[in-house]
Amino acid sequence: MTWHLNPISKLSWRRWDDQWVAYDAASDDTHQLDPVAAVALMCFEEGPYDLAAVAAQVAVELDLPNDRSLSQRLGDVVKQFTLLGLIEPIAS
Amino acid sequence: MILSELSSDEVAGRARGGALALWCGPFVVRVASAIPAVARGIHLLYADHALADDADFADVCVTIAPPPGLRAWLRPQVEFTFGGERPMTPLALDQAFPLFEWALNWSIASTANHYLILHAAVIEREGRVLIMPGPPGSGKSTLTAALVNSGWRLFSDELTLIDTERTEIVPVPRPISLKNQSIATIRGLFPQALLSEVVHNTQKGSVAHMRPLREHIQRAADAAGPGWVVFPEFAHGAGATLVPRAKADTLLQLGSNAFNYHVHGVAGFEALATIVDHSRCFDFPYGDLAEAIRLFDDLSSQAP
Repeated sequence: MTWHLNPISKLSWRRWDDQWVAYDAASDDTHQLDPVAAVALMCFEEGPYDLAAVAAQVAVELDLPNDRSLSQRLGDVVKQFTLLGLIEPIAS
Repeated sequence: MILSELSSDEVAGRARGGALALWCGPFVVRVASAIPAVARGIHLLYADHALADDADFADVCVTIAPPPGLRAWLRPQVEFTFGGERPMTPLALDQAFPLFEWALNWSIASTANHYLILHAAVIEREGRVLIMPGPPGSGKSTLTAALVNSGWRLFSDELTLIDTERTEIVPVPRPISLKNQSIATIRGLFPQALLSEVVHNTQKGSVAHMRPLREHIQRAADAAGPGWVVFPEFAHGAGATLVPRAKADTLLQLGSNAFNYHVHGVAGFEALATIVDHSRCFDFPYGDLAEAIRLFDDLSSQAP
């Protein structure tokens, strides 16, 4: 399954060290993100990504092992983003 | 012309006729009230504020009057009306001046949407402002009263007005609300400070207001940029410590203390982010005002 940023969302970003903040103009919500969640959301902002591709990108950007733990973490992140309406699945 | 050039009778007469208009920072505030305590409080505490001309558009009109009906005879009360609406519960007659102050806060926070408005005290030194968000009881007004008597300039003890285009903070200097023990504390530390009579048994306990310093009113047009964001937290016996706090969380906390963040959209986010970018951010537990004043003196002397 692949996801992309909700088409009505428009994100503005700020970063201080490893603290990230994204403002979504569609909902007026401001989200505080850790680096894993921030890189994942930037992937979905860029275009459709599946979980494996997001994991690969996060591992490269943050110099993390691309392992089961990262996959599980990203699974939770995707669920959370979906609940918040930030991303949506693309039917295959 | 400033308000102290009018006699107390003239102030009362203008207020009675709805013709008392004065500049509070960038706003013209028109007052309509025949309640003597309202005119008395304004005469005492707004003495250095400039009067507005009759021709000036009033940004805010605050009417304080007895509510209609039998109750006015049985148990005298006052209420605030705004454009025909009654946004607040009526209060006992002796609370008329505190009600005026709360009503004016409400009116500005509800209508001045061209500013991003935070529920936060704000003071300035050396051209940089220090923003102090904090819920009731955090000690922000007491700390503000102490600091403006110790070299900091008053912008507001309640409302931080942000010009989102320039990312500047705009002063709206008005009387500082002191509650309960802080009234005696400020009187003890600053005997020269001019305080109103104490009104007891309000929804916030005993309340008095401190008159802002004349030089702060005279500089009400001088906006300034951000320098610090400090979250005070008063606790008896606590040592005063400035504890650095994360900028991302500070931005979110500022947003949650805003009255109208949603009105400004991305411009509001960018303004808050810029403020956080240019500010040193701290939590500030404290239990002693003298210690707090010393720490803030040190803070203001350090490079941004």
